[in-house]
Amino acid sequence: METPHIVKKFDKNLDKIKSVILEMGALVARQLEDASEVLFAYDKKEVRRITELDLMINGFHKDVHSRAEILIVRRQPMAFDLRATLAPIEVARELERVGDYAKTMAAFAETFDESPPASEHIALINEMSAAVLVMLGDVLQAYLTGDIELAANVRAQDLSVDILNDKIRDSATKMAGDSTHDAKACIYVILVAQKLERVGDHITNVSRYINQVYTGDDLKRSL
Amino acid sequence: MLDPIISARGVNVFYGDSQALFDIELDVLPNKVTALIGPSGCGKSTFLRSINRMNDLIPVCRFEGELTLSGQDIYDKSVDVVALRAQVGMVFQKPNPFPKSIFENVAYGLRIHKMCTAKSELQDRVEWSLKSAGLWEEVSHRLDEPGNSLSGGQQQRLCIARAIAVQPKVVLMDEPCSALDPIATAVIEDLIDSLRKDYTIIIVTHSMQQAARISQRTAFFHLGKLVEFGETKTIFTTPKDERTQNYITGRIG
Amino acid sequence: MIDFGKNAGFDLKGRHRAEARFQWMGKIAIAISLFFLAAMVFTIARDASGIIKQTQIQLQLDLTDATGIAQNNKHPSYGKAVKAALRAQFPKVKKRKDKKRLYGFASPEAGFEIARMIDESPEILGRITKVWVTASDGLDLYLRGKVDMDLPERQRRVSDAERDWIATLQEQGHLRRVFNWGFLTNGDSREPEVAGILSALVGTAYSLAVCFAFAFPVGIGAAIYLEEFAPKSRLSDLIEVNINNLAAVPSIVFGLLGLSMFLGVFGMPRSSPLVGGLVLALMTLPTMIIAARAALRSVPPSFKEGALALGASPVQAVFHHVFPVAMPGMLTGSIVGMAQALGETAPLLMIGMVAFIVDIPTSILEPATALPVQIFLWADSPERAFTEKTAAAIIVLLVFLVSMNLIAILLRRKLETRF
Repeated sequence: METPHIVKKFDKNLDKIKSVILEMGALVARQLEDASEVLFAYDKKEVRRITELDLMINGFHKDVHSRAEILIVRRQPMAFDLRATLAPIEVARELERVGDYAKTMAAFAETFDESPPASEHIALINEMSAAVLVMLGDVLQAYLTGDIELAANVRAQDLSVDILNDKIRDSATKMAGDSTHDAKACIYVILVAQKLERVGDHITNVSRYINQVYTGDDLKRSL
Repeated sequence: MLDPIISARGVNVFYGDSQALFDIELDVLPNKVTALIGPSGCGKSTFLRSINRMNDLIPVCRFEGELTLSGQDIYDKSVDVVALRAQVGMVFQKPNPFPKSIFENVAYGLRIHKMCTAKSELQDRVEWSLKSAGLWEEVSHRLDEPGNSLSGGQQQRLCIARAIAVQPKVVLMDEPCSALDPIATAVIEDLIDSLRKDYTIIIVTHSMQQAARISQRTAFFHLGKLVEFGETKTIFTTPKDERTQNYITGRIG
Repeated sequence: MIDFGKNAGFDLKGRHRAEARFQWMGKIAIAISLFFLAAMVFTIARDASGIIKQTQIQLQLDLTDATGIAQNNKHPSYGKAVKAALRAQFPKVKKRKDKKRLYGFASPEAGFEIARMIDESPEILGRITKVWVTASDGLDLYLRGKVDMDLPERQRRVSDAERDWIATLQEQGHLRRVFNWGFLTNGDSREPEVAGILSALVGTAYSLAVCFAFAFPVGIGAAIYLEEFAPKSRLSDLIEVNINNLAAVPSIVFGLLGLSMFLGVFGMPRSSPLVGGLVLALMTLPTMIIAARAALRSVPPSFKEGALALGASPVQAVFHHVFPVAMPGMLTGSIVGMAQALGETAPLLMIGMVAFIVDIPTSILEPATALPVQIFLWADSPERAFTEKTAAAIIVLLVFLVSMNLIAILLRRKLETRF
């Protein structure tokens, strides 16, 4: 919305929520990046740090929720404003989930240290986490600028993440089946890929909320 | 889809040389609450007052176009304004009970239209009207007291009772709650919702929340034009026109 | 802490002084006007106090051979009997000139008073009775000490001989002072001691009744039409301006109009309250219309709107809702207008209500006079005693005026609706 609100405070409050989301997004992105780095280079301290970041992310989630709540109480926003107020609550929840997956992923590092996965799997997982990180970066950019095309692009990227996931699952299942590699490592590779795929889904959800804020259409498929 | 009870086709209204309404096309559906919203001077009250021809009282006011009530052109030469107003009741912004008793306030319309011949019939109708307006419990024991001894919200309900006593088809309300406190407003809003099953209600309001709460359909007027008209839910969540969006979200449009 | 006592550059002292100064000026202005009002009331009351009581003289009346007078005359007078009685009281008085002075003790009206007594109780005819009759104004003035006895005898109204006779009468108890009912119950007279206000009062009442009966409906009707129904056009503007101008036209002009219209064209009876009332009505009409329109305008338009929205016709809306609410205001306006008319003299002079009217009018067609005119006439009279009558008449006029205003206030209180 280019037109400023008559109540300047309202625009200010809305912007504040937005900046909290972006800050949270940046933190989650860092966490995810660090988690994928530590995944195949186990460092106990680092894993602990990443796990503890989760508390901070939860704090952000709470902050966004209470800001949105008070804004609704004070201004009773309508139409775009209402969606722009409600969306951050959803977005924050999605980001929080992303953070949770990053935390879980980091915890897998110890297992991979004991039973290292196949090198091609490492490459695929790295490719996948890079793709997910690009998606996260893009969706935050789209959220900042209100760029619904970029948001649509993020949803398109999710397809390649899904393909990578399928690829890893098939390959790891096969390796574990014909015992060409340590079965435990293979199972954990599948789990990591699954987490990253979920992260992709959550980012996709965020991009849907961005679209909904600006167009009013809910893209989630339903009956 | 229901047949509209009121339909406006190419309605233009002028005050002297200045035009207040431009080519309004609008269908009001029966037994629904239709809210007219828009900034001050947008023509929503002018449109409302065109429906019971209260604008006729303003000498410089001129009407063009077609406005039908149940298929009959209300600006036709053969239409008697008095008969029209018996069909289209009106409630004003400021509660304006007559300086008479509560009973006489409600009975007035019945008396002038000679709708009740027997005294008992008149009493029954007054009681029925007050009950419909949700006021009976509060005033049944003091019908002889002056109407203006009531509180603001009660006065407004008395005015609603007065309007529905003659059983009109349509009740027009011109910002009926703007002079009332939130509790009285809530009572009136609840009343409007319950009156919907017997009457068609058209309400002008400045409170968008109120329009969103009580109406099924909302029309947004801006600078004398009907910008957007549709389901209230749509207007307040996903309006199509940017002017509507700007107005309802509180942005200068 | 803020020091509120400190002068913080606001010139507080100066402002307080200015306020005190203004209040004092206001109080002084009120005091001055109150002083003049009090002075007026005091002088009038002092002048009028003399007529509260009136002197009567007792006569030993010999009516043994007066039967014939009553039978032969339409308006019999017993002046001779009065004179005889006075002579009998002072048998020593022999000189013609002295006798004449002696006769002057009793009012010239005493003969008629006796006639009225006989009418009431005919049994006193043919007998010798003691009666009280009104004394002359000269005697009355002397008894109240209004005659300066220090002057040389020739310049005095009361000679030494008269003084002695009065002293004798007082000793014998033949003089008394009683409450002066006559002032309120008599008509006008050439003799100040019997002149009363009633004919003027009745004339005024009749005139005002006619004025109200004519001006109120016409004025209210005109006001309602102009305010509620007349289309706003150049013509209605012109009418409005003219009504406002008419309210400022000098009253004597209305008198001239009445003279030429009612007397000249319509040939209505001269000097009658009918014509007087109509002239006053013409005069008050513009005031009434203006007041009524103001009253109508002060009714909130929401009543009319509410009625119209219910389907009332414009006439119903106005007469059911606007008119009743405006009624008290219109009534007060009218009464104030009539109070103005009450004090008018000039237009009444023009249509002949200035005549000397002794009889109390019984209908609006009979000649009559009015209070202000009566005051004007008495103030013009040479007799000293009429000064007091003038003051008393002013009091009657003021009482009339105050009671009319009181009625206006009461009506307003009673009829006013709060909204």
